[in-house]
Amino acid sequence: MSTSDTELQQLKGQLEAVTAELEATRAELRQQQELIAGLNATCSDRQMQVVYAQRMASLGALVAGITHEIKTPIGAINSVQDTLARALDKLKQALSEACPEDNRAIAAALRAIEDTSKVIESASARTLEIVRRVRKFAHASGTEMLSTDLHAELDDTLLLLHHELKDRIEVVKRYGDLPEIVCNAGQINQVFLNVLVNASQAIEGKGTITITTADADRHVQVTIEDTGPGIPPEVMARIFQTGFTTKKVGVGTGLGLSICKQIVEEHRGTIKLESEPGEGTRVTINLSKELEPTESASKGGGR
Amino acid sequence: MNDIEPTADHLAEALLLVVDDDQLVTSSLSSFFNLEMDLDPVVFNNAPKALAYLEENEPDLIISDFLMPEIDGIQLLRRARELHPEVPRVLLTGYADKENAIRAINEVKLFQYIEKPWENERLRQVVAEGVRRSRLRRQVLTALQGLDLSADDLSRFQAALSRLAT
Repeated sequence: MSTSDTELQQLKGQLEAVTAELEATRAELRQQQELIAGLNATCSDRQMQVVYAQRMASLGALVAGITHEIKTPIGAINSVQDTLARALDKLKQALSEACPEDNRAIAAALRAIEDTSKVIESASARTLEIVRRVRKFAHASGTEMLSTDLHAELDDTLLLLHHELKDRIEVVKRYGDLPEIVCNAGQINQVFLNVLVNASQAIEGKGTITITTADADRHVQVTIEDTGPGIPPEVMARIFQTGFTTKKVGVGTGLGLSICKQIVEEHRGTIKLESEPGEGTRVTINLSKELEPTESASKGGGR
Repeated sequence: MNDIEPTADHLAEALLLVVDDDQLVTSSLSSFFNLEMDLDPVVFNNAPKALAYLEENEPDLIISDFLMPEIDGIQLLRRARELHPEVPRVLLTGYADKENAIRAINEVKLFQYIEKPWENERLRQVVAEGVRRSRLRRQVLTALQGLDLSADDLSRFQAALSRLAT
């Protein structure tokens, strides 16, 4: 009886040891499983980013081609309008010498030519400006780090969003005294564009976007606030996650903010979102003032 | 000889060659030069034809587009430089590419580089200055030829004098 008791005790001990071992192995396996899941997720993140980068690059090439083609005809319009205005001046002079007395028909015709010429002038100037700014975005895939005026970049981005914002959203600019900083302007423009698009899409109906800039010691700070409905905490928790989107299929790619974060971090900066549901959202971007400019334009492989 | 300012008369006689495959561009330029500078440029929308013209004629200034089928602007201006090294060359290009511009400036020794879309006023200044240079150079050459002639005359006189003296 006592012998079997001891044996039983021993067996129990052995069983417990085996169970503990099994438990440990299981925990180890679970850890490895998690690791693999994490690696998988990173892999698919990278894949999505690569696809996105490729799409942006081909879009960029397309836009660059189109704007290049537009430049010649719009340049011609711009030039002939100038010539037309000069010809009109000469014509007026000659006419006033030839027939000094007022001629209502001539005056009306001259007036019409003058007015239409002015319309052509501002229309072509505006088109040229759009072409210039779009070209800058088309070249966003460049890797050059250059001294950049962030206010000019913000203004360029706002111009591209003009049709999205115009009658609906008031843009308040509180630009501080900002030094130029070294950055990849094309990429920083992408960040501004993403954040501003998010802000404008967040606002239902009318609202305000406030852009504030400030010089902050070793950083410059750009804050973009909207009067939208704010971000619920469960969304906020996943906001920088690759592939996460609250937008409809075809509207959002879920890559915007994750890529923004990556770009900002590559500029030794930070991007932070703060939001109270019902109170709007504030995005604060800090960018380092201490980055080195690239030396030659042909340097490649910044990412 | 003192009259080196580009007067209207100077420009009116100036021979300006404009080459761009796009007629929109050459027509715009012609209208402007006609109206404001009283200048009727020789225009080609085809680079090989422009080259053939250059073989036979020396203009006061050449303006050429960069991207053209068959022969590009740099090739055209390089040949122009071989034919008429002293004629100012202007590259007018929509190719806002610094590397190409620098290559062109070094390779064909441009007088000026103008980006499309151009400003008429800047173009006018460039053309006026380029033509002025061409004109000055011709005047100097003519004056030098005159000097050569005088030198010939002098030696003839000298020879005649020495013949008389003996």
